[in-house]
Amino acid sequence: MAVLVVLTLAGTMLYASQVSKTLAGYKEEVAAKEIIAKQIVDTAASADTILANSKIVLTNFELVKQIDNSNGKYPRLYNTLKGYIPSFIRVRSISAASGGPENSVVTIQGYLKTFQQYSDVMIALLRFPGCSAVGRSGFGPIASGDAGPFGYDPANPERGPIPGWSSVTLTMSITSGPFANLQAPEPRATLAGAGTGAAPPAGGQPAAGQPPISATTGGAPPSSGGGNTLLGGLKGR
Amino acid sequence: MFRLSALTYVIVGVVLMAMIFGGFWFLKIRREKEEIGYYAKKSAELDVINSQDSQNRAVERVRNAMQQVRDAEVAWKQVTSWRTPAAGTFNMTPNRWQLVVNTRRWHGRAEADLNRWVRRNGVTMTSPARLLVPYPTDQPNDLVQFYFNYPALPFPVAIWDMGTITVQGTWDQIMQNVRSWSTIPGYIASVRGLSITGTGSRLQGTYGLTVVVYVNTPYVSGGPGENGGVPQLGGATQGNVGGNQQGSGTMERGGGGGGGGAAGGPTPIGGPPANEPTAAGMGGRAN
Repeated sequence: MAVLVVLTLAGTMLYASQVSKTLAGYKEEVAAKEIIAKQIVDTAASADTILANSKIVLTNFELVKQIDNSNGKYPRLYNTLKGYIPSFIRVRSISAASGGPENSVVTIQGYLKTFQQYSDVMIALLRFPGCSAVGRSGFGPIASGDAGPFGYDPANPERGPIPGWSSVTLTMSITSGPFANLQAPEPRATLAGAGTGAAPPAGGQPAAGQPPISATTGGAPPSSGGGNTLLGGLKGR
Repeated sequence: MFRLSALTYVIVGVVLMAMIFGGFWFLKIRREKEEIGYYAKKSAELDVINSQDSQNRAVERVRNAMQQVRDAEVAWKQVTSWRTPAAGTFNMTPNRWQLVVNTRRWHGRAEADLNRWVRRNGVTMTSPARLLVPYPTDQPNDLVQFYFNYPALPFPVAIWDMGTITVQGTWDQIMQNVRSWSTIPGYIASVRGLSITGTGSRLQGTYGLTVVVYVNTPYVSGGPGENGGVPQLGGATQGNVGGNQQGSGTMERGGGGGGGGAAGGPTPIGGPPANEPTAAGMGGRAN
């Protein structure tokens, strides 16, 4: 029995030492892998640093891009909308308002003749891309003082609106597609946000030969010259 | 003599064996096995991070970031070439007193540029009669701080809300007029909220306009620091909330109005606005 006890002790100790060896092996392996992993993570993180250091030029460029894009939003909307407005309605005014990044409201004020047209125009406008709802109001005799259709000049009291036509207001809610977002960028807030990125050194004039912002970003500067101004651009004119 | 039976030896032996194994298990082996499990899991995670695919993606990410920055810098260079005031038109390097004069001159040119541009594409502007660019203050420190938003923004930039504009023309003329603001040289213009009114070929388009003017200058006189300001009496920057300056870097036009430039009836440089001789204003500069 005593032999068995001694054997158990020896076997257990052997097993424990093997477990310890295995653990030590894992520790070494993990330590070695961690060094490589850190290099990879640091490499990946340096992309964020590059972008953060170039925040000013990226923000400026993005702002201008968004401004140019937003300048064309209303013309694109109206030009497209023209094709969906039935010929029987005489449009007096079109306006649109942004209700957020995914919602815009188009208001059309115009004139039509029959109650059937009042119904048909709803179907026609619902075909507009992204239009989720159309509202209507105003069908009835044209109110006195209303200019009426066909270019009636309210300054000329001798001519009144054509009888039988109705002044209606149609409201379209656009909640998807290319015309849902009519927002324009807010330059001041956007540029203030860029101020949290890399900025020129504070205090006094920069030393002669100081590189522009774009050349201090960590990214390679443009090959055609780094620029010589606070904006990081080189004047071509 | 007390004598143990064989069964007792067996039982004691088994108990001893169990205690030996249990002691090692609970005090050492189990803890280390748990650690092994943890390290094995971590090793597997590190394998994923260290995989060739992961390395490639990290390198690709950096490459993409550098490319993105390069693209932006090249594009931005084009913007600064064509959509900021042309070289020599305006810089902010002279002393700030001179800057007030330069700004007035440049303001007149900027206003003329915008008024020319708004009538492009055959439209006529019905409202307002003339675009008025906010008139720059004669207080040099306020001018830099508020009119050019420097150093609040990391570079000098003037942002002018031009209000609502109404132009008259045909459908195509109005659409082209709105679009053309994206191509105005020397400025960046943002159009918002276009509405169309009228019938036939006599349409009126109404829209809001904001103009952003990045000033392409090597540096700003005095720099962004507190010491960059010039000493001035009156029109103290921080307390300047009365009168017509409103801490915005602008002021009402004197005399000629609308003419802009130095000929636009500037208030004498360095002096307080005529209607603002307050005690606080005379107390000396705050900036």
